[in-house]
Amino acid sequence: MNIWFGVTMVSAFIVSALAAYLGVRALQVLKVRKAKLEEGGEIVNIPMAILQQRSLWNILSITIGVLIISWLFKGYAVSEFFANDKLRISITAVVAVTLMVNLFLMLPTSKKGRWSKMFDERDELVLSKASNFQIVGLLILSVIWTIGLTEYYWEAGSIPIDIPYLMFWSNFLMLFLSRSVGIVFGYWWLDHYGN
Amino acid sequence: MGTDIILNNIRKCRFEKNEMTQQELADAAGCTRQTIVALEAGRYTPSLGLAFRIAGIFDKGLEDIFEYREP
Repeated sequence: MNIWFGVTMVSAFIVSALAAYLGVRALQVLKVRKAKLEEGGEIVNIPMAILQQRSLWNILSITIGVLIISWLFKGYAVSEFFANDKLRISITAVVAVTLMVNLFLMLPTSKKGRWSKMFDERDELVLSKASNFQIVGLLILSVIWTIGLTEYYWEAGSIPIDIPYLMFWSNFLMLFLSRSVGIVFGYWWLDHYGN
Repeated sequence: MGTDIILNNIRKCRFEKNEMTQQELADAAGCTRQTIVALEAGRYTPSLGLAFRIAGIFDKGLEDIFEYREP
């Protein structure tokens, strides 16, 4: 047996075992934490915060936006993005509308005027943690782009000039999508495990 | 990961204060009703500022409303 194969297999086993142990341990800690919380308070359904509701709408709007963009690209090559005015304008319009909807839905985070009574420290806590999801989201997206482009254009040796433009838009969409996912997850966590 | 639990008797205090509603308390304390519900359910530990404001609304000390339980 090749020595490197053996080392790789042992390393993979150690890493997997460690990950499994940490996962089980985390579940145990969370179970204890939840039990203690239930001891201290009664089980109730906490009404959804306005930010939570709007984040769910936001996830829906971005998903619809991405589906429409995918549908618009159907039958076209990515390299036609700049050459085909109709395609470029349609996709830019969908992205712009999706981002505008997002900005409108996230108005409560401005804490001004009538929103000030609908946004408090609990919402701020969730919002502050949601930025971690943005980092992870962008990281995952960059990995997908990198692996996808490398695999697809390996033979060609270069990528079409249209791609960086689409990467820019996708980064924007991912930034807003991952924040909304982070907000929804944050409220779920608070409702189940406290802060 | 901490498992400190801070209990409170906000619900009892609300009923003692002319059956104050969660919304009334939230408005007076400058937070949302969702936060009051989460506090009463033991699902949220408030900031010191909010804890003091809630205690002030009931004319009580912080320790009369909140109780720290050892993990």
